[in-house]
Amino acid sequence: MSTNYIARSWPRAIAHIDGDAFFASVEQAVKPWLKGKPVVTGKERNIVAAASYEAKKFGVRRGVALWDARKMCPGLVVLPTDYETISLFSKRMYDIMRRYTPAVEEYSVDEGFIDLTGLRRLHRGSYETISRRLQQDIHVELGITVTIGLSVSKVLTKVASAKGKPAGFVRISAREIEDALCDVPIEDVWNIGPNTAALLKGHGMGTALQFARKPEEYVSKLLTKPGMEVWRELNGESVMPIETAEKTNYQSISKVKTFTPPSDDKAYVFAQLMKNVENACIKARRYEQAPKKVIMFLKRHDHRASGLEAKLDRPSAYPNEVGAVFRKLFDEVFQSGTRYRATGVILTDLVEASPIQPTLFENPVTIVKTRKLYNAIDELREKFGKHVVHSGVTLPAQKTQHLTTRGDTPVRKLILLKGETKRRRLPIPMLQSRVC
Amino acid sequence: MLTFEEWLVPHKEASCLVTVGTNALRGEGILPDDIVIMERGRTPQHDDVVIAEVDGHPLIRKYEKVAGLPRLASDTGVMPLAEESDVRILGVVASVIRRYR
Repeated sequence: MSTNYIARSWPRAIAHIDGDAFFASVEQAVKPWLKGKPVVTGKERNIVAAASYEAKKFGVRRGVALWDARKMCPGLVVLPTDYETISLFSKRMYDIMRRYTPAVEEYSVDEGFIDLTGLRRLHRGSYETISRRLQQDIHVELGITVTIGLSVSKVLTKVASAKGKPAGFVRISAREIEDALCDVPIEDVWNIGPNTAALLKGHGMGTALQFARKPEEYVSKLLTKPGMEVWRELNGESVMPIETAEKTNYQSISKVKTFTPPSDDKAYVFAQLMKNVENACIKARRYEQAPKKVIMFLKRHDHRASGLEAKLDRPSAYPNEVGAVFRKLFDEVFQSGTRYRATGVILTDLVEASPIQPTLFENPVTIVKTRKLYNAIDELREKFGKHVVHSGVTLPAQKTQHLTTRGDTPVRKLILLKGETKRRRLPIPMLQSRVC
Repeated sequence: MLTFEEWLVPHKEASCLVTVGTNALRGEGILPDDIVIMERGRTPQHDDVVIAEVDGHPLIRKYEKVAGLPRLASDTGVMPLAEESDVRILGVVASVIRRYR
């Protein structure tokens, strides 16, 4: 009887591990004197990228302009984003999760899912005990906090962790679903977009529980497959898999980069665009894919964007080949006298790169030469880093992405230990102060 | 086979680099500009070298327990750890590394 009960409580055991104000917490972990102080990152972009909980108390949120944030919160510590240290901490967080199970989904740099189903005997404890132990390991070893939601489906784990922020642990077993969902607004449910939320509200489903309690036939008339998956997951049926594999192909690849200060220099803005094209193409080639369609857009100083798309004659992930297309699109979109702050490209309708047929009017020899050229460039990149070889038009954009003032470079980048070079540093975080 | 890295950094996830900026543990053979590997989340034992935060400043010291009372020691003196003092042990030092070139 009792085993039956447990089986019904935990048909699956999935945990969602979510870093609390991750970027800011990592800074506090490598700069211990910032513990307990309001800290934000994003100095290099003049916009808050992440705010510590101390700063959030003053209403400082992601996306707020730094200038406003400083006014809202006197004494605010403003730091540049240290991507190198962030990714080291992220990797460690996932390494700690993998001590408990190989079924780990790296959903983003600071949140992941793990599947603990069937591991109670191995780890000698309930699913809750195991999750709390994992949380403790992360807190103690990394010096940052995470919130863990434990439940029977991915959507429910997200509901749980949202209730536990920050540094909390919330469990929703199959028997606890009803209690957990009654106060959750429908728009807060993971994978329910604003349009779907409005639709469901219009049908009297303002909370996740009201939605989950509607009969399947009723809901399936309103929603398509992704919406139905959410409905099932809210009802305790796990239908969204834990995606453990690294991504091996993409629906589309996009690269968007902001630059400061904004510019009305045509050659410079085009260089920025082509740098994104090169980066997107590198990624496509790495996964042996090529786009049939490309999209480009420019973001103006006032944040309004305009763009165009084009079909390629033949799928290609070589900047030499697609460059002319982007040149044409760019010339149509760019308006002189307008200042731009960002460029973006999207490679889409991706197909496998290998068996591509040349069009009638192309010289196959040129195509083979281009392919050889880029094989060589890709090899050089592996050895010496990104952009060792780049096309001439991107030259104006190669030097700096952001005009930096003092203090815009992360501390770790400024310290070179003996034997380290700018490109090659020890993959261990560094406490960012000499000890006395 | 143990790699050199595994040997120097036995608990990778919990470790971070710390640069030394003091002569306080010269007697211990730890000099300015040395790199030490600090492990977080470890309870310090008597005679461990630790990184401690005292009034917001990170220090490197020997952790000692004399007659059950913890204190931080350097070549020049000792500082008792009173319960109410603002001291946090950030981590325990696992190894010291010095590159000459």
